[in-house]
Amino acid sequence: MTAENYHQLVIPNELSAVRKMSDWLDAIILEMDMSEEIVFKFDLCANEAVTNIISYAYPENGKHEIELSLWLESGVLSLEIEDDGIPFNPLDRWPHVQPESLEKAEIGGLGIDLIRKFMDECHYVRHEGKNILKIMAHIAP
Amino acid sequence: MNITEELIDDHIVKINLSGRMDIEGVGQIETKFAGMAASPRAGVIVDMSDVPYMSSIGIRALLMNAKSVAKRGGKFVLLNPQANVKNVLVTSGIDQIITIHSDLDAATASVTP
Repeated sequence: MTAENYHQLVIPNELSAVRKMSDWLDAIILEMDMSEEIVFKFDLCANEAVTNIISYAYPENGKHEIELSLWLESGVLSLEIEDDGIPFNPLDRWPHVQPESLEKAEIGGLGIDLIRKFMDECHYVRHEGKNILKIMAHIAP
Repeated sequence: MNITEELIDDHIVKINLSGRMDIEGVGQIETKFAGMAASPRAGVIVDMSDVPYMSSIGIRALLMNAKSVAKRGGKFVLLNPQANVKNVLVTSGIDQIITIHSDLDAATASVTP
């Protein structure tokens, strides 16, 4: 993996850091010469994942760090998000229900559903006390 | 984010949103949004043409205001979301429960009592 294609960012578990994460992601992915659509989907999915981590992985609160790693390899753009919160797999937490009417519409689980639909692959592992979520998009040559 | 309103007539308001509709952005406008979408406006058009980004928190803001307008018998529609934002609305199924228009006249007609 060439160093120029591997990028890391550490943010605190605070919602105020999310915009900074978006700025970082957008800048790198644009520099990789990707389409606006690719920039958008990673920005979206990272926002959804990190917001969920900040909201649910730390029931005792406290100061924690969330690590993001982004890399392009063999036509696949991957974003890995690692946190040391409680065991928490956002992917299997909420089943999705398509809203059938305005009155019944809820947004619980919507963020995860967006990640599943916008990304080509999503993987979660719990390893050595960390939650590691990896989301990937296949980039057309 | 910024938010402004224009009265189209006595009963219809066009709410203009601009900027990123993420946690920070929505936080900046949510109170004003609720105020602008409140009675006595029977028709609410939300102009999304200047919103380049929306995450589920943005969807939540739209849904909450759409629900409260519908609950009091009014109509709430979206106007001209950008392509990526429209994609989010369609992918999440929100376009099936909140109508999206690409044209102001059509939007106005659809919310006219």
